[in-house]
Amino acid sequence: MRSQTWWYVARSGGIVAWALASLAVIVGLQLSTRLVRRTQPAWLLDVHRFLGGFAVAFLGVHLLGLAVDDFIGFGVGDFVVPFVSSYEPAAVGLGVIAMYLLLAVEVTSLAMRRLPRRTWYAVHLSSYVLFAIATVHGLTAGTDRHNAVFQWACLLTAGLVLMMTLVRIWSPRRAARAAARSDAD
Amino acid sequence: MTDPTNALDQAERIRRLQERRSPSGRTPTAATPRAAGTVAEAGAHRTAAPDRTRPRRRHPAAATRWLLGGLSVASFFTIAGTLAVANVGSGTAAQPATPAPAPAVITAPPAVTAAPPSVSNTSAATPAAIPSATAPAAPTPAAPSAPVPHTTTRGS
Repeated sequence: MRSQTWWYVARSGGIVAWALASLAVIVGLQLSTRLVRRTQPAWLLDVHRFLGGFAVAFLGVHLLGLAVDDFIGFGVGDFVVPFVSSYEPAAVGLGVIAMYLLLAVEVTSLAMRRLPRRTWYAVHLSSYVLFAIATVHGLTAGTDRHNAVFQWACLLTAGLVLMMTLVRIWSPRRAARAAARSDAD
Repeated sequence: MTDPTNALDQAERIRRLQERRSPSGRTPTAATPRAAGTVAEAGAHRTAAPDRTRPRRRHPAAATRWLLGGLSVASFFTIAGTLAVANVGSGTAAQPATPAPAPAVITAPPAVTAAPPSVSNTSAATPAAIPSATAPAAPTPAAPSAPVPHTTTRGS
């Protein structure tokens, strides 16, 4: 196996993990906003869960590639403690935080029925932070940060997530629900 | 953003209903008990219908899962292959500028071949393309004001 193979594995695994996590966020937003009306909620939820799980799997590939690759020489501390890495400490630290957030979201989603709904929801809201941090991590730590395709993908995805988030915040359904709740109170 | 996700609740409920309405789940609860006539028979039938006859639960988006999984794995290999090909391509393109590009090994001794290339129009691509040329601690006095490429940006 060539010396750079694991480096390629780490890079492509990170890109695919980011893409899957972003897609999971977008599908989750579609689930709550119903921006596209013809989609079935059950189908969306299933896809949303699958994308989250697969993102975790490719995060594992990303970490495996970095651990096995001997060029940067990441140690265990670099993987688990943010901002201690000798290589791009800030950018790698953001990646470590994003990893923890992704794991927290995934674990609380798997244990959703055993958790209070508010707890699960509070952790799930950190997906927005996770998406932002992971995107910044890719754009600052990644070797492919100068790649125009990657930059455009980040830009378009961030724009879509931002737009759907705004729609979700200001959607009429939410306003109607809030009004109904205040009437009931 | 403090509202609990009613949409998610609804989706979860629909998903459970769809699972319950799978072909194996419908038989004992809906059709057969009415035909049998009595509640006792219906209850007996419900308990008599064991789960071992029940086929594996099908997810609502099973086909999409396969599609997305395949696309993810395919894109993973595509990206990795593209990176490798791009690196090989840039490495071969830069070869004329350097005499002997060694494979990237961090433990290699300070590169003797790290002397500034004589060809000026390929000098921009050379350090990034050949890691050994950018590698560690080459104490070359040449061009102190030039930006030093990071040693870890190997490959393309």
